[in-house]
Amino acid sequence: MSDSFLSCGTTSIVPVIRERLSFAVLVQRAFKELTLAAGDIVAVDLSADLAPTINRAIEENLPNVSLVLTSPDNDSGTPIEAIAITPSDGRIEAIRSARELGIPFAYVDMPIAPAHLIGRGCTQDPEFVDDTYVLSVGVNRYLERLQPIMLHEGRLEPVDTLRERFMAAQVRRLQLAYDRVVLVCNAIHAKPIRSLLLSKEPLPIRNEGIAATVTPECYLADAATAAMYLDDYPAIVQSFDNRRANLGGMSFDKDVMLREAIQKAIAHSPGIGPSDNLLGLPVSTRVFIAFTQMLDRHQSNIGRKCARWQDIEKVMQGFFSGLELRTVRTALLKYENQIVPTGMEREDPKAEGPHWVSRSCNPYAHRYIFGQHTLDTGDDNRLKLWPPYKQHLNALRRRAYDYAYRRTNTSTVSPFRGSLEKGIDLRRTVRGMWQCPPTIYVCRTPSRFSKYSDEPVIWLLDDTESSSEFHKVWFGLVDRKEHQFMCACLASTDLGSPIPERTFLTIRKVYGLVTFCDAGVPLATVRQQHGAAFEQRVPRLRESFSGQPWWDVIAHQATLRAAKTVICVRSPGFAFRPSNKHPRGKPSRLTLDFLVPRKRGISPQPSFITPQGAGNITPRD
Amino acid sequence: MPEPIVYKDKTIDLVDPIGIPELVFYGREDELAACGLAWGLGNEGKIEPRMKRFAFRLAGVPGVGKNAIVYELVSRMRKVPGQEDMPFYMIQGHEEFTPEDLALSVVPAEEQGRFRLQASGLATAIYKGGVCFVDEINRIPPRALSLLVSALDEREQVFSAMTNLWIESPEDRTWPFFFCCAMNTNAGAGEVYALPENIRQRTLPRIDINGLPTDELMKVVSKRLDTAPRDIQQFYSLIERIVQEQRSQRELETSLELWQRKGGEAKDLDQFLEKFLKESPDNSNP
Repeated sequence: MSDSFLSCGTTSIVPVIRERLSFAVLVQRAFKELTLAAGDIVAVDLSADLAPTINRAIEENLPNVSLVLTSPDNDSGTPIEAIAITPSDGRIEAIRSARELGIPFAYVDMPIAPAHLIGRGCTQDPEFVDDTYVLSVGVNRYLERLQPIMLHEGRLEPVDTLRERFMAAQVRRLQLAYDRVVLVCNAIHAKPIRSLLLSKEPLPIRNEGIAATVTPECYLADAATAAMYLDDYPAIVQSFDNRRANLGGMSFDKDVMLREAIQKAIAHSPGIGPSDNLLGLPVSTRVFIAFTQMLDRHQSNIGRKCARWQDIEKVMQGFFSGLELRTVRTALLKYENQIVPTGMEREDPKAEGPHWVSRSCNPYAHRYIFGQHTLDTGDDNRLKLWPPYKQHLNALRRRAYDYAYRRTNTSTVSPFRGSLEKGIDLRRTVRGMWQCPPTIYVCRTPSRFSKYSDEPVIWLLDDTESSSEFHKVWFGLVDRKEHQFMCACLASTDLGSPIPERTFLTIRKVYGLVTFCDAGVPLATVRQQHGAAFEQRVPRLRESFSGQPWWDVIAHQATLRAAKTVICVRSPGFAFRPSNKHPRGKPSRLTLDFLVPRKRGISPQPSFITPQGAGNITPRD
Repeated sequence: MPEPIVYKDKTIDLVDPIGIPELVFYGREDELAACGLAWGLGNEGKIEPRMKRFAFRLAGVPGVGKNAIVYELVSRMRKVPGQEDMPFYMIQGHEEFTPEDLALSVVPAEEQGRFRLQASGLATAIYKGGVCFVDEINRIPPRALSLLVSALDEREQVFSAMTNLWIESPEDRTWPFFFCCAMNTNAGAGEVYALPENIRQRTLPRIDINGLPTDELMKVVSKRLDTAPRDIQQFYSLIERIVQEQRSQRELETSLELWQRKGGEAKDLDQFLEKFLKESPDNSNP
């Protein structure tokens, strides 16, 4: 007895649950096992009146997700039935594979007016049997586990019984014309149809009363909707779709692919390592194995094979940092990332608005959003992106486009006070577009520094009296040589030995430094501002000093390069006595001012702008 | 009296298992389930000898009940028929810990002028099986923790440099070796060390223990008092304030016990809690 289908004479029945990837794999596995050939036919439980539309969606849109909608011609107020054409659906996979293998296929379900489908339950059920089990335990055992759920919640009578009889009759007709029939149908109908086929009971076709003429239309689902029809992890469906051609996906294992994806994401995580490891070490094999084992145990406890995202997240928290968690989340759920589902959920039949129905509803909720927005720049073609992912990227672009440019928005005029200063802060303004009311943000310069926009600032951070050790003084930092210079010395690196041997840390205690207020401005701008005076204003080379304490050296250098003012921010230990002598012996043009440091609980102390150069800043006793 | 064994021609005294404090315990089912999952326990704490046992690490600020979770876990394991005698050893981490404290130490014998070899709780747990719990593991200096490396991987053995002995489990060990540890995560808890990477990796999963939600804390306090306050609404709001202000559960329970010993009655509970809230929070361990 096969594990991939139910046998029934010359007919094989492959039960599927809609839009679950494992059943698409199951279909491929069954086809491979049956070695379909000329003289065989594939039958699917889709209505024949939808065939042209569904065929066109499969041919033209896949792997993009489309929604085929049916609505009666005569009344636009009645419910609409929706069928998702997605690469993760078993029935769609059956049609795709049959087309590729050159096997004929037929739609054997009964045309039904959507109004007759009202009442079929379609709710979220987290305890629903994991579809991955069907590949490991086989269809018989899987259907046994599914039976209690399907019997009570899944059936809609009498419609389902009528449909089963109709489909069984159609299959009997096909049996006369073909050697073998492979019926791919919803799991709920598999055993009843098999029983009907095995019985000798005549099956007259009666669908009068519930059939209706419908006009199906095909819509391309937008990115957010498509993500909902691509199984739990669209990225895994993408992997399947890439290898499914010519039954190449029959050995596809969703669980294995999921674990590989997690491993790759963690390995490529730009993070700083596990939660309390700040050393930036790569994730070790030991940790990953332990994580995998714990995930297995968790899955075994809750009776699932393939992990849901919430389970992965729960177990990962014990092993990895938040950054790695986010990396994995982005890798697995990248299609949902940043897109907020805004669709209409099929819920209350009494609610106003369109009422959505589906003939093959299962306990997974579905949503429908329509739109054909694309903003294709053509760049993605070169990258050969998977079409649904490309669609997702387009959706992101479109949202950014909407942020920036809303043609339909009504203009709002409100009084404006103040000035645009350095212009509109575009980034904050765009990000604030969703806020109500929209706000324009302006780039501002801190007003208290405006008058000293490019003057040096001395920071005297330590009140140590440790003397005139000139080796402590050097000019410039590694990457910002032109912007500041400082006084520092090597500090102790003994951190209680939590650091492995191959990690080298250099810690320097900074005693004081000189910065310029324009340190954040690009170097080219600074050059442009200062022109020929640039070389005089900005220290670049080591200079020799003798006999001066470090604070003198710093203040001296700052004074040399000041145009009008030197700002001094000092710790409380420093007192300042201005010198009467300018270091260059020129008349002073410098003015006096003060700032108040507010840092780490230091009591505010007025500091000074040197009026006549440095030389007399000394630590207080 | 310590139990002496002859191990590779040396007489070593094993340490006695300790009893589990009887505490009021309520809730924490998720945390207990996570601990049980790490140790591969079956239903209701049944030991599954074939399952790999991970040495989990409880992390949280002082007073949220990390130790209580371990006590509860072990007591549930002991309730399973056939597991009543499972030994429990506890090691208290501190700054003066030495490597030999985790293996074998030399202590004075009862006879005058003689010494004997005393196995640590860890060495005993490896030899006899049972649960070894290291509290405040991040107070132990890293060089002492290095002995844990061989104990927490597949080897399950610990080396005593003083006697040049590898202490490992005999083949007929009664119980599997379970290990867990707890660490305080707040910087204000005195001198703590960053766990060395090799120990950190061997003490996973890390299970974060947060403060009890209001409902559970209220039930703990009610159970502790063995009575009910007069005004349940006021009592609830006071407990809610205690949770919001992130006051330590241990601090509250200790204060309650002292108050009860001094003759505090349930009718005055509201006043007691009001007074408790006014006092300055103290997150340090006693």
